[in-house]
Amino acid sequence: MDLMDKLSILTDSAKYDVACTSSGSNRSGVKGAIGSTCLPGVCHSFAADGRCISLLKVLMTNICVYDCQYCVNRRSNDVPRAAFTPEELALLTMEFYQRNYIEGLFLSSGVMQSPDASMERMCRVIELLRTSYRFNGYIHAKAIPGSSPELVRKLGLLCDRISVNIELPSEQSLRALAPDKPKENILRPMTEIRDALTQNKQELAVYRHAPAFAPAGQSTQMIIGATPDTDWQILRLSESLYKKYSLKRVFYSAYIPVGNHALLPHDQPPPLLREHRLYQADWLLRFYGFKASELLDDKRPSLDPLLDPKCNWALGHLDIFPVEVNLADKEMLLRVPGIGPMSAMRILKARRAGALSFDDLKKIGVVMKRAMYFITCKGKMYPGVRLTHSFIYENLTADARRNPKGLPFAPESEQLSLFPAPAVPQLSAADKGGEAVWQKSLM
Amino acid sequence: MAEILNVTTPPDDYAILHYDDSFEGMLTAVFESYTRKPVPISIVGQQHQKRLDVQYITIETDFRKSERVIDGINRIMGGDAYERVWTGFLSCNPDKEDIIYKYIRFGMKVGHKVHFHLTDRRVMNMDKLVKLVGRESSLQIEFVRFSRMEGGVFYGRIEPDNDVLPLMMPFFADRFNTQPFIIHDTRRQTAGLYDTQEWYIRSAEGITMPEYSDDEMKYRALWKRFYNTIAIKERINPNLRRQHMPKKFWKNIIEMSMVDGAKPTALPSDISRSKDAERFLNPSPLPQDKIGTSAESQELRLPADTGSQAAKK
Repeated sequence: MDLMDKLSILTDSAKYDVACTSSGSNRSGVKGAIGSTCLPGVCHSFAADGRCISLLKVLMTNICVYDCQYCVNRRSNDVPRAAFTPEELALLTMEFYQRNYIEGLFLSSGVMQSPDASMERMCRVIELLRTSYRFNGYIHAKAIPGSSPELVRKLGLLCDRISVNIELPSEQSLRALAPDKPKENILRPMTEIRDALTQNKQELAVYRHAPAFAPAGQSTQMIIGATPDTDWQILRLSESLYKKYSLKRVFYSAYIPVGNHALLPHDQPPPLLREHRLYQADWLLRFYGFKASELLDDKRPSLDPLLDPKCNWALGHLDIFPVEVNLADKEMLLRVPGIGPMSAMRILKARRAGALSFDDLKKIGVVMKRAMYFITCKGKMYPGVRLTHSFIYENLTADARRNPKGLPFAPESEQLSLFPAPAVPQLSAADKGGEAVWQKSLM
Repeated sequence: MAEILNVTTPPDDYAILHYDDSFEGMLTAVFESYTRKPVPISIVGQQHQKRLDVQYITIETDFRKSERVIDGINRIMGGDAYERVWTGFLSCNPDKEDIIYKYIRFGMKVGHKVHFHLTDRRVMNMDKLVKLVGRESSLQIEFVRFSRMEGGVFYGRIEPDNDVLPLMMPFFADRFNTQPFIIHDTRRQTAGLYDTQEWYIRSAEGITMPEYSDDEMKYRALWKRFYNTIAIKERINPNLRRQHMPKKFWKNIIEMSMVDGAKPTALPSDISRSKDAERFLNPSPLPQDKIGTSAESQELRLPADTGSQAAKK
């Protein structure tokens, strides 16, 4: 089999892995070595699905002894199989990197023979890159559930980021669909990586030149919409992963029907909007100081498709609004829809030069379309705004109801109300908020 | 009233400083503005269409004066502000000198606090100038594609609106410090060269390129295959792709322009001269007349290369 065919097969079987970021590591070039990394990561291309291509994302092999039902590479699936030799993959990575096609390598693997055997092959590729080619760029590797602690440690010392896929949001789902992967096999390497990261931090504090263990930290991913797990369960899981395992990122991947198991959904489009809402909620957990329990609970287990989670939260807590932009502290500013970490920082800065008006906020990059309902400037509300649930809800969801593309159901045409809310003059141009830019830089 | 209408020589309080398009020249003009009463209203470069009702004063570039302005900005406004002035100067905005001039004059008055005046018009204009240059520089860093030439030199082409080459060179010289490379700005006909020791920027005229290395087409085809395979067909979203990777870049991004496995028929140095070869190699999604080709862009100013690099350090 020639390299072109191998590349096609092993890319095709890796494409469902979502994490293609090259962020979290900041390493400038080293004389005589090739490559560098930068903190926010660099995207080098964008595929036809609009997802960023930052790393050469391939599997070492798609031969797999496991039979996970949601996975395209399961043993029982009839697909062409291939395996890279460590030498050809290392060379391919270098040739792509030198042409500035990629930021580095994202390496995962099917389980050939045993988890340890596959991990050893992966380590071999990365060792070749790091030692023979003196490659100093970004490497993200997937640790294989069930492999030995020594190999996980070895992999961590070679990579920038290491991850273990949690695959599905609950143990029941995992048991039903991935019988070969018990929960312990996934959580054990996660624990080992966490402990190695903590230990490495201490070592680095003492010896500046101690070898770095996965400087970009640990991440994971789970499939959304393949199982009946609710958003509330998912967010709670992510929250504990961030807290207990100090993960850098949890990635969500809308399920694309690749299996024919009776428990899996068929012929339904991937739940992209749900995935999007989960990422929004995830951001609230990581950068806005929200708790999962503030966003959802047992009675309300799903995120609203019409409204983003932050607006939703704000609508449920109208008693603490409006917020005076010229006085509020950073935590409070971050609670206002339309104000992200970047614009909150800019507000705090600009306030030192003088009190801010609505016009100033727009210049600073606050998304006034959303923020206008929840703030006061110098004690005054935005003209025409009423701080009532129905008024704000109708105005905020007007766009989504008018253009219901992507919604899983047709929204109600208009909420009946005795006092229909007057529309508010929209401020334009402020839409390009700091939020989106910030998110892009962190992707 | 009649007296005002009959003015033949423009009044002194309506003076504009005219400089030689070099970074040092602009800073010299800033220096001169502090020695003149009344204060000149603006600074303009060589491209400026002169107005009749204004008195123009041509400024001779003086490195001692520009040094003093650099010191002053660093001391009074802070190193960040100087970084911004330097970056803003790379902009293609025809009013850049005016924006920078007003920013410096304002900053010299308020000092370090200039960073808090986020809603002041002078600071906002400067923010925008710097942001656009910074954004284009990072996009070019993402999307420039190198080809391996015979002898091991890597060659990449860009066509940026702003003069971002001085921002890209240090990045790649750090990253690819073991490999010699050339980044060719086809809009300005300048080239950034790195010889594994140092980088510099010079005119692209007279640089002859070797042929593509033997395996260049092989790796292009492999990359193209990877690119086409990685997309998930259930999620195809051309708008999202265009948003992240604007069409104007496609021409030089090989996975967006090259036909799978196409063989080159011309050397890169010939390509820049022959439009036909260019069209063949890179079937462009843009009409040819929209692409700023060499004729007009050769007239554009060359960046004050070594000077700027030294100034940056």
